[in-house]
Amino acid sequence: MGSPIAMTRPDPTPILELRNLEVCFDTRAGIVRGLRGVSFALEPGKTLALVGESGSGKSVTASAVMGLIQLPGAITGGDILWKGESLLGRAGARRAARLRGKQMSMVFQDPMTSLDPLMSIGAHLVEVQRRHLGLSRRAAAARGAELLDAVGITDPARRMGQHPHELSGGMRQRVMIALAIACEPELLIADEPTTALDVTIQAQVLDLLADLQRDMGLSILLITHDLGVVAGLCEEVAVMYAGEIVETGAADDLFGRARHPYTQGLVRATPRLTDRSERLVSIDGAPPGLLDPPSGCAFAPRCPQTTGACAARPPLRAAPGGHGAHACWNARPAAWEPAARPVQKASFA
Amino acid sequence: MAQFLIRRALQGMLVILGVTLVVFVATRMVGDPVQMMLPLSASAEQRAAFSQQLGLDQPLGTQFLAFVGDLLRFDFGDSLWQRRPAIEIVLTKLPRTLELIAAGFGFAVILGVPLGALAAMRPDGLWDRIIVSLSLIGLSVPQFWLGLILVMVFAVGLGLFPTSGSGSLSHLVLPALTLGIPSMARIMMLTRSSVIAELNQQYVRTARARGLPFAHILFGHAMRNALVPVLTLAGWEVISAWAGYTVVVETVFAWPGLGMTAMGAINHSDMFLLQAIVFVVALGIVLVSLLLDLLYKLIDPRIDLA
Repeated sequence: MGSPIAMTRPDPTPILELRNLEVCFDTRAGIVRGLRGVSFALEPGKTLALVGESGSGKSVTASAVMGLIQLPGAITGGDILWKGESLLGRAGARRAARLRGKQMSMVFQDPMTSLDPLMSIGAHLVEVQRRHLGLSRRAAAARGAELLDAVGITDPARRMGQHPHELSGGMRQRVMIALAIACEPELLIADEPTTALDVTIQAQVLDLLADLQRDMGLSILLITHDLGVVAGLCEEVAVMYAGEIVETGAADDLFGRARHPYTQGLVRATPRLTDRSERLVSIDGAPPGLLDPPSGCAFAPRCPQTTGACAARPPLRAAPGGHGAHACWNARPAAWEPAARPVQKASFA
Repeated sequence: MAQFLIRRALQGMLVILGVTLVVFVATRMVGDPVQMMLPLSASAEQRAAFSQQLGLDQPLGTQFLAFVGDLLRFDFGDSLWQRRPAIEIVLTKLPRTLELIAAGFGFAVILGVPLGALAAMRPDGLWDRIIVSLSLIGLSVPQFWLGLILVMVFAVGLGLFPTSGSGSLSHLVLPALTLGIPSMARIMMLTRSSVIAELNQQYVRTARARGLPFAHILFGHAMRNALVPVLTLAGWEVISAWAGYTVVVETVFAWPGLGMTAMGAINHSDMFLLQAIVFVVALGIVLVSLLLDLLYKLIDPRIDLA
């Protein structure tokens, strides 16, 4: 788990880089190890997806980057680098405070509860612009209406005066996105931005993110458990399991050529329109508790191809002769390869 | 809005009518003013004449209709005890009680809300422990006992304030504290738990992710949301002081307000004065709860008054 894994060319300085990041939660039951050494790098203008099931540490990773880990949680090891400079420690925290909400911003999972119910949409937009851009109230309000227009909200002047409860979930998520891009950030972290939305609205919101990325040159860290979303929006994928990254690679490659048995299981568990078999394949068992994580491979108890080597923790190693990396002693192509892609790219365009 | 106000006005009138009916019946069942007012040696004819003069010889229904008729003209009859119009007595005592409630309640809110918020900023921290312990004491102390202890310490012992009576600001301090301390403790505890709950809300997390400073999030977002339940409690505090606690406090401190007058009216079987007092108190409660509803609407746009 030594050096970070650069996922494509290591040439441009990554906008965001995590090095062996560890996060612990000191709970009554004991110390829960939420992140157990997470490393990845995100290059400017790219989209990286963090995928994995609930509790795998995706959201904790996002919270750590945004500086939102609160007691009883704490970052206990590793580093977070913004354009090569650490965001941890005393000086790093000051740097992070200047970036937060301005150069890096975040869209959350649940738009229903993410806005202050007592404040109008306009007041939210004015507040963040006054804070970070030093605009006057009037200028911030005018620009706020433009932002609402840019995220596809009709009749923005009227919406500015409305309160969150007067808007639908999809509209609120658009407002959250408008707030996130209000100060023209370089990095947008989207934590399951479509999970709480209707399927048709999901596609619209993802299209919006893709458009914004193209127009603003955003780098996006997308957290999701939906592989369809990944295929449509992302270039790079990192698969998380039990607080660590088990496989990384280009989105185009990963689904067809997954090497880690967990990724293979995830791909197989994704419903496909092209597949006529009646049963969905699932991965037996449950992820290990992170209160006392296994010393060896965390996936071994559920893995169909364990060997004696799995008693030791496998490092994330570059795959021989190819793209990406995986943390498995026995990595091999999936038995069912080559399969059709799980979801066709741009299926929601 | 207009519809809401009209409906509330009609409801309020019903409430006041109901309360006056209860008091009307109760005062006539509990004591006989004729027995109280006339000397033991009075003859049966004198008693009958006095009873007739007050209208007490009429059937209860007739009496009540006459009472309601007078009430519409704001005429509550003459006090039996003080021999002047009952409403006049009430109006001279009313400002003293309002003064006491304003001082006690003001103290409770001005200290209770900020201290509750301070405790909430770091649950289980030093300030939180101190504040919670103090409010537990404030919550458990009976009001009459608190009043007596305050008198013993600050008036008798230290001589800082007068023991009782009214007339100056220093007279107001101890009764206002007696009225306000338990109230403050309750407001403090509720503000604390309410602010803690709000600080754990998702919108606080998103506000932090937007890079807003903690003080801004606390005062600009969390406090305002936290105040909705606190407002409910504050309204209850005012109403219960107005309709009850002032009786205790005014009696302990000989504060010449409505509460003490009500005690006197009961002791003298002065049904007319008591009816006037209860009417004014009921009117006050109706007005305070109307004001509360309007304040809710002001704070929370989701509340629909219609």
